[in-house]
Amino acid sequence: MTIFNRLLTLAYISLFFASTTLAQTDLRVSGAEVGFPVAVPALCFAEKASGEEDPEKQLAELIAKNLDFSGLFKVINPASFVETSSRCLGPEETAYSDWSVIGAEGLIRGEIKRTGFTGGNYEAKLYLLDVSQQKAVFGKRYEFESRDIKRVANRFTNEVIRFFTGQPGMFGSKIAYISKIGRFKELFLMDFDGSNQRQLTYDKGLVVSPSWSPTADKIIYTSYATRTPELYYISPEGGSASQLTSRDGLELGAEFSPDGRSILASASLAGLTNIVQMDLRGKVTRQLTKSGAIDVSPSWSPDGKNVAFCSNRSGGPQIYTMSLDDISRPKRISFTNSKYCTSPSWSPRGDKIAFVCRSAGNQIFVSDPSGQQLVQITFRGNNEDPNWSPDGRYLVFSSDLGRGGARNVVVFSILSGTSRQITFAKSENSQPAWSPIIE
Amino acid sequence: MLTIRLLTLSLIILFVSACSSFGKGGSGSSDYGVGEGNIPLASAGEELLDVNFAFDSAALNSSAQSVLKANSSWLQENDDSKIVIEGHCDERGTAEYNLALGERRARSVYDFLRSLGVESSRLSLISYGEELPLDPSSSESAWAKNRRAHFAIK
Repeated sequence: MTIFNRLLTLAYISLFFASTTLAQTDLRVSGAEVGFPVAVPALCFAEKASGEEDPEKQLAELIAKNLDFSGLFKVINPASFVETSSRCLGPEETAYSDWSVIGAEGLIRGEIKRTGFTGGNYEAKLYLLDVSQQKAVFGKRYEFESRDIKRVANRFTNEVIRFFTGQPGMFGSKIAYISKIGRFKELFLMDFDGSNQRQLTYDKGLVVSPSWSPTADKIIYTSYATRTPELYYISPEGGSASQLTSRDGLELGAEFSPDGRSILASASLAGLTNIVQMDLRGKVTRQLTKSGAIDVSPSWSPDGKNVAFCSNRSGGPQIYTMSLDDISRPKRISFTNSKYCTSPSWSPRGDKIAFVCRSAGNQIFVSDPSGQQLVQITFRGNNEDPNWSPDGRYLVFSSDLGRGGARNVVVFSILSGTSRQITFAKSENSQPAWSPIIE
Repeated sequence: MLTIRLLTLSLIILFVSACSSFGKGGSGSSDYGVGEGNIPLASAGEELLDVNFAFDSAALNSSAQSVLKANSSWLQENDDSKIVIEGHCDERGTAEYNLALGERRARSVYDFLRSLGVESSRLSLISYGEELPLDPSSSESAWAKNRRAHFAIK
């Protein structure tokens, strides 16, 4: 099968997801094999000095790891490679039979060389090749310092993802999350794959409900740093936080609007938790719910016109949506058998809402914004705090199903229907919030 | 629709951008002393008994109301005392909703104490949701203990 045919297949599968009009009920949660077999051999490093680091291997390994993480590809084990030439082959000289014989349909290869006189500066040329058509599909050239090698791998992976699906990839994005340290909870940040974990707050209290600004320059959250819960934001680079609110009562679950100009949160007004809109200085500009019930966890639709939230106005908590143009009649959209549904997250493509329902533990469900096309994603343990990747292809959530039973962060691929634990804390990691696309 | 694209060798230069520097070099291994911090240690009430709730409820049943009547008598005898009403939940719900529910529980208690004549200037309230369980185990009896309003004397 040619890459072209496989592209049609992958593009078609992607349509399940991209389209809001197709009557699809299938989110492919069954673990379907859609992996496109691809080989990623080490790059050719023509004038490598002895004792020099191995960017030719690192880059190939990072790209292979990304492709495997994507759920779109089956990365062929390098142990089965048979390529016989020891020369540095350009894309036009590739011995394609060496790759078709091991089942590769795609091949990523390239060359790397040092630039300048000092070490650590490189130029890499990377190519995607179609093995059955025996030709190169595209190539990219990168100049970089060795410490940016991961960014090069992320950028090239995003080019490959874009070629196969027509949509940008999420490689390079980050995930903010809450980690338990002793009896406190603090804000942390990591790369999309769980690597590069670092602590952002040192509040010695409770930090909850992180969420990103649309340009990824701020993370907003609630902290008990002053012993009462207030909203703050902090740069993902760290540094000191800015306090947004200092009112009595709880301000919680803040989310920047898609245009970055306002904030939705729940706030206690006269002792009742309602959804409010705030300006960027934390001043309440509009009260969106007045039900007398608990209204909490707002999530914007990506066009900024609608809000999903959790309310117990009909007894137990359920998921509702409302238009910001008409807040008088919120519509319930969670219709599972559960009396307890919370934590809605509207997908960046606008066509799905993920939420949690108690159903033998807390489980993740996904439906369209009207509550139709309901799919249950998890079935065992406790799975909470669902949040979408910026490309809408993955859900991140916390789960106690992994190794050791501690709550940790899990990424679920919508396309492959498989999940992958990305943190391994012995205490607890929870409330993951995926950043917008960052390259 | 997708088509095979021509081989293009595009030039992308990655500008060197300073890698993020993080204020305290944090790698997630900070240790804090047990007593310090901005949240209290979970404890059961002594002078003022805790009040318990049903799952996903902020309603005060008759035994909760009896406890609150006793607590209000204590507050009348100790009329210079001020208290913080803490609302707590069990672990079974989800974190954000539980913070709102904990606040609702604290509010129910606040309103009841006010109806018994306790001055509002002596009362404040805060929710800790499911974050400060009295009993961290996962059992019906632990959950029942953890669904509580607790009274901290200022």
